[in-house]
Amino acid sequence: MLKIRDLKARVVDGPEILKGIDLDVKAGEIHALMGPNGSGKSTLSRVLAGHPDYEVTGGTVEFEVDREPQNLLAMEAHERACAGVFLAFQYPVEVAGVSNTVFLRAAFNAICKAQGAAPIDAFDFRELLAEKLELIGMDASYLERPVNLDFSGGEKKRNEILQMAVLAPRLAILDETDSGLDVDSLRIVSEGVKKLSTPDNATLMITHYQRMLQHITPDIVHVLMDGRIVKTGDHTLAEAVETRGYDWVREAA
Amino acid sequence: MKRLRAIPPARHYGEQLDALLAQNSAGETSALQKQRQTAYDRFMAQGIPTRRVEAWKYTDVTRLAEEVFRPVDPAGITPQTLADLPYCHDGDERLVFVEGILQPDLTQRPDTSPLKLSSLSSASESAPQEVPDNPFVALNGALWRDGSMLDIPANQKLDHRVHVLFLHAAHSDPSVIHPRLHVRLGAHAEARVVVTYAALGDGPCLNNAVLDVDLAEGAQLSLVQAQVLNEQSTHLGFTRITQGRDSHVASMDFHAGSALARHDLTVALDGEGASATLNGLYAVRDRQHVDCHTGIEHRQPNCSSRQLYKGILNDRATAAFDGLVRVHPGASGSDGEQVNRNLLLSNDCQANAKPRLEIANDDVRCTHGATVGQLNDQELFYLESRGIDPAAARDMLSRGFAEEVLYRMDDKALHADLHAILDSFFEASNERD
Ligand SMILES: Nc1ncnc2c1ncn2[C@@H]1O[C@H](COP(=O)(O)OP(=O)(O)O)[C@@H](O)[C@H]1O
Ligand SMILES: [Mg+2]
Repeated sequence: MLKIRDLKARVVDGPEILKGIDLDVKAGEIHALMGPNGSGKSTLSRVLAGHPDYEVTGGTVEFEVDREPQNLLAMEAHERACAGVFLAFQYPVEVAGVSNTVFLRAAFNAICKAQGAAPIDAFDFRELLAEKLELIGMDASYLERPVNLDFSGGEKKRNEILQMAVLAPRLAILDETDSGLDVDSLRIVSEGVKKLSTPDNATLMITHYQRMLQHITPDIVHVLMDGRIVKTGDHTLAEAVETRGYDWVREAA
Repeated sequence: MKRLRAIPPARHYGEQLDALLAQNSAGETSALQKQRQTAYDRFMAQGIPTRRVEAWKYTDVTRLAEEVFRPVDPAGITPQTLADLPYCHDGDERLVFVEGILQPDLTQRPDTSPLKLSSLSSASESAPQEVPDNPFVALNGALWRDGSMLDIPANQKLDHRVHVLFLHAAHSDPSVIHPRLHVRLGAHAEARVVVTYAALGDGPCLNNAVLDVDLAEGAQLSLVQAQVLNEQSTHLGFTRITQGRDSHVASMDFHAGSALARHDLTVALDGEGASATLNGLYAVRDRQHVDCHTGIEHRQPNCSSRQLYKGILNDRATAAFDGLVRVHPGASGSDGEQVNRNLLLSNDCQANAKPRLEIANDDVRCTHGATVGQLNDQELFYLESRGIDPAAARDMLSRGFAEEVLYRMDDKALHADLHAILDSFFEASNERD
């Protein structure tokens, strides 16, 4: 589904942050991407989502759309979303004056339109939302509030997963969704993410610690250090990182 | 050449006063006629300010010295015309002035309404004594027709909305209205008043309005002023609110329409514990210009004022905001907040903000702030990352910017009306993108 080859990127006019990433994600898989602070995890996620602050300086990213590999890097951010890429932000953005419902329905309908489906009316959308809210244990009162405005850290993270549940992406990239969630929320959100995982979609979980991995067992674990993936393994790699630390990975690599 | 601070107004203003005095259709007392003459003399003495005058630095009105706008007779507006206006609702008590003259057949008043309507012609004591240093207020004082007084008696709570419309009918000759309205709420009275200034045609007009508001002890007023004139028009507005003890006003000052708008809103917090919430929104495009001045006088202890004025500018439009919060000696426990935010949707528009605090007291809490900027890139990316295309994302954020002040209105029907007016602003903006 996703094929990254020798991807290099930097902040526009800044130093290189990604120094040659190779990564393959197949449908049905759950990947975990771990790495110390500042190693480039968020940068990778934003580059994949098409954030304008970053500049790709080398390499390729292919994303399968209708079983045809497409050059993801040539697409604009909204086109990537319409093609099925979703990024749950490490730091979700507050949008004053735009209610969660209005925002979500606009996004849902934009994606429907791009995929040739009819738009959903406000009434049906409400039903769809009710179901998704329940999945991640979120209160309906968030819907009428402006997007993320004055939400707590944990509420923002939940709101990201609500969006993921509604937009049903084919590739979900979750950037440190576990940080900011308390123990109970983490369990509920993790259960939600697990339920959303199907043989047709894939999830890339970015995490600094392995908190979320205690609830969701990844198929493949990668360790990113200084802009490169230095080690890839199964779920036991995450446990090894947890007990031995990143220095161990650096030495072993 | 010496640069002048004021320009003498042309002769036609005097002709208009003479005609009004000679006609005296309302049978005005000689005292009132004398007041008109005095106001006129003051107008002539002050002249039309140039941009050399600090208060008019951003707004050039010098063409008003020469340009001729004449009053016209009311005609051409039917009840159906009103029904088609977006901000008229069934159940409103509606006072309709066409070309400045109250139209009984368009006016709609519930039999049971406690609101008392009287003419300023008969109530000469109501003519405000203290006149500010503003020549257009003086001009209004000289030339108003059918000025009205709205009284809401003490302890009366109006359930319905009172909607006062000042309409310029469709005609091609440059026309003028000097709307003059005085709203008084007795002690503990409560009311919702909407004042709309609208042009039904697209011919040039001058709208020179003066609104006086007096709130007695404990009175509560929700006041909306919507200026939705046409793109050929000039709006000069002056609003003077005086508040007694523990009274509260919530004001929405909305401008979307005229080529040039200048509004001065002053609030005198004259009673202990009075509070004012002043919201404003202006939307300008093409070469439109808007200039909002607010002046809040904290004269007694424990009063609060909250101001949020927001502006949306596109194309080559310009806007200015000048807000003064003044805390007088002895007004301890004053709480003043003033925020002005401007959103620039093009590279050619320009906004100037001048928030000012003058504090003659220690024990106060006053803050102010102003911003001028474009849409936030991180917010745009966030929306786009969810599949919303860049144009739609910009549109959504711009409307959100407006909503951030409009949502403060308790009146949901009016809230929807103002959004509908903004829809046409954004549609016109988007068409050219
Ligand atoms: N928008 C940006 N502007 C400047 N520096 C950035 C930006 N994004 C990332 N960086 C820098 O790139 C490096 C990697 O950051 P990031 O991708 O956020 O790491 P991680 O998510 O793994 O903690 C850090 O040194 C960070 O300061
Ligand atoms: Mg990060």
